[in-house]
Amino acid sequence: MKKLLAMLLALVLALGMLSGCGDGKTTSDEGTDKKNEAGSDAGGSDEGGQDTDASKDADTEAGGEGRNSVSKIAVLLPGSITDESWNQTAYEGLQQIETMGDFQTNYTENVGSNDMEAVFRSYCEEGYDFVIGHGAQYGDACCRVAEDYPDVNFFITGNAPEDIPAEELPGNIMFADYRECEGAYVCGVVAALMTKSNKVGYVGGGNNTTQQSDKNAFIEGVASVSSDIEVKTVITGTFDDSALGKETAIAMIEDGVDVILQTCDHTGLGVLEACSEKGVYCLGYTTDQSGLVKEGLCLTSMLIDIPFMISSQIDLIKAGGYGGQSFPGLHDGVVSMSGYSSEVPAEVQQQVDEVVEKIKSGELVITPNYSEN
Amino acid sequence: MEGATLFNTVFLTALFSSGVRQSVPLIFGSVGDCVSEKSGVMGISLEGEMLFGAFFSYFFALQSGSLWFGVLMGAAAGMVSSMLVAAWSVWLRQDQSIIGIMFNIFAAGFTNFLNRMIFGTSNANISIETFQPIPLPLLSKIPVVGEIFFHQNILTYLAVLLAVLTFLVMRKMKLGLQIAAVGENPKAAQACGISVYRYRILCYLFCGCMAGIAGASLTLGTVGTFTEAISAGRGFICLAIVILARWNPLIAVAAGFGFGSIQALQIRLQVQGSALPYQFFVALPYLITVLVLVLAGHNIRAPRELGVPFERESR
Repeated sequence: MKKLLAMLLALVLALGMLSGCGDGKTTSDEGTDKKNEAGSDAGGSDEGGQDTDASKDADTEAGGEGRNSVSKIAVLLPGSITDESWNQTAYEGLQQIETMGDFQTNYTENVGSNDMEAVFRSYCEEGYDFVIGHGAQYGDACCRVAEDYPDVNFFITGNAPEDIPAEELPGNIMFADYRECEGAYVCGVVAALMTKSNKVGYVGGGNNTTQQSDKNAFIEGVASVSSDIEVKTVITGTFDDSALGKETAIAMIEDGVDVILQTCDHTGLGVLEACSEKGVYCLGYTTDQSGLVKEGLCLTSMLIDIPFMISSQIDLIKAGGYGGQSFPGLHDGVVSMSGYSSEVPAEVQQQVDEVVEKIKSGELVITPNYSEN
Repeated sequence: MEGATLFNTVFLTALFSSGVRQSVPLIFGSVGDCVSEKSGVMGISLEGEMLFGAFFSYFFALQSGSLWFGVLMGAAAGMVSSMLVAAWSVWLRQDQSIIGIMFNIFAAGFTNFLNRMIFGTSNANISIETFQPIPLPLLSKIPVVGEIFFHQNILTYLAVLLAVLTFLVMRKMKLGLQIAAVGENPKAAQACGISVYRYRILCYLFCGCMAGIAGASLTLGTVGTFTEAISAGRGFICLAIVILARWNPLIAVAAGFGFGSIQALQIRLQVQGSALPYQFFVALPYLITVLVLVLAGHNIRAPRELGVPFERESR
């Protein structure tokens, strides 16, 4: 009896897990359905129709005849769409696209390195004409696939593979090496202008190129204002431990730090809590975080608009000649700064705005620096 | 930033004060686990129960406006969730490690689900006032030591108080002896008329209750809000602390304080700036835990029937 009960309980749990997986929109079975669908309306009669009116202003390349129209869009995601961060923003981008017109969209979650190429290919075979790999890690697989499907547009939300020379990259892939570090640089300038103790802090989450370039750009931004200001940096090694984040910020504050930038999601929330409690300035990350701390303490936030970065690709495709490398940042609105808090004096705002303008105009170029120390 | 200026009184006070704050969830968790392991049930699922405690204490504190009600409900949530594990591993005699790991995965997913269902994706906006430090009369006036140990929030004092009480029960009372008998030799205990199942389940519920308070100390004592996966591996550290403390709640307090202090130290060393890669500092507390276990662990003896399911009808 007890064994039976145990088995039943185990079964219930196992079923729960299965149904959890089922939430993901795309499974391989569904994929085959889509294939049939694609087969029935294949022939591309409507594609051809769009082609003629779009070709008026398009300078189409050789082999890229059908490339300036989009109807079916697919995204490959490294994680799940509810992570409140990287993957969720891509999903939001996809939703934005859906509101922009009559598009058929699809996505696959948790695409790991061993099935990247297969998923890319199956979408291409199913007649998707715009396929997005969400993250630099999809670059290699995409390059291998893209040459076989010259009529399909590809978009990688990251930098191009470093081992392939730029001129050998397939022409139908767009790489968006977005410049989060520009925002971090501006934060550095704000922090340097606002510190009274000449000590500012940076709390990072872990070891990846974005985090490292954020940290280095922040230090650079501070140094651009004054060489007397010390930057204290702590990498917590976790994006989830808000309690540790709080203790980290307290340690910094006790050391005399009076402005802190954090770029570490949940751990960062603890940092904000400490700043709020101790009345220390902080800088927000990815979204406007001024509501999370006491009035005025969040000087400004660096905003990163991944949904926009993805949805804006549709217009680029329609403009024709899609492909290559882009470096969206402050200039393109992918990175932006939120409004200033009331604590930031007008002359500081003006100085910071000037820096932002300089970066936008290209007068000041922030190159991502991926070194660890 | 040289050593001479680094290790001054102000620095040390701040360091150990942070160490005490960070040790609170560890003390609750490991004291609970001391008892349940003494009775023969491993607290692998501590991590998950901590998450339940953290979520529900925050939720109820927010709803009721009372921090104490939150702590109470956190303890209850930890206890209720541990019933599942207790029933499974004691009554149904399944492998405790597997049940524990499964429960942890379930807890992580389920608390995330509840969090999103109730608060949506951005609950960080909804933060509550945490327990504030209460300086103990007289004791807090002692230089340095007073500032470190007697200028903490009430949960810290509660943690130490419960540890002392647990120690007394386990060492000085018949009940403690009976619990130990259940963990050492359940058959003999049963022959003496002790219900092994009941003792093990109750001990495990106590452990779950403590884990729940540990979770509450994170949300209501430190952060003021619930963030997903907030326990961040503390439940597992508790397991190491219990072994290190040789199932003695008082030593567990000291070990928890040691771990918290090393964690506080590694942050401060990073703040001071160093040429070493950050991974070294992040790993430091765990590295030292392993080292201490290796160096001081040569004659550690676990309760004999720890992790072994007891079958009433067995011979």
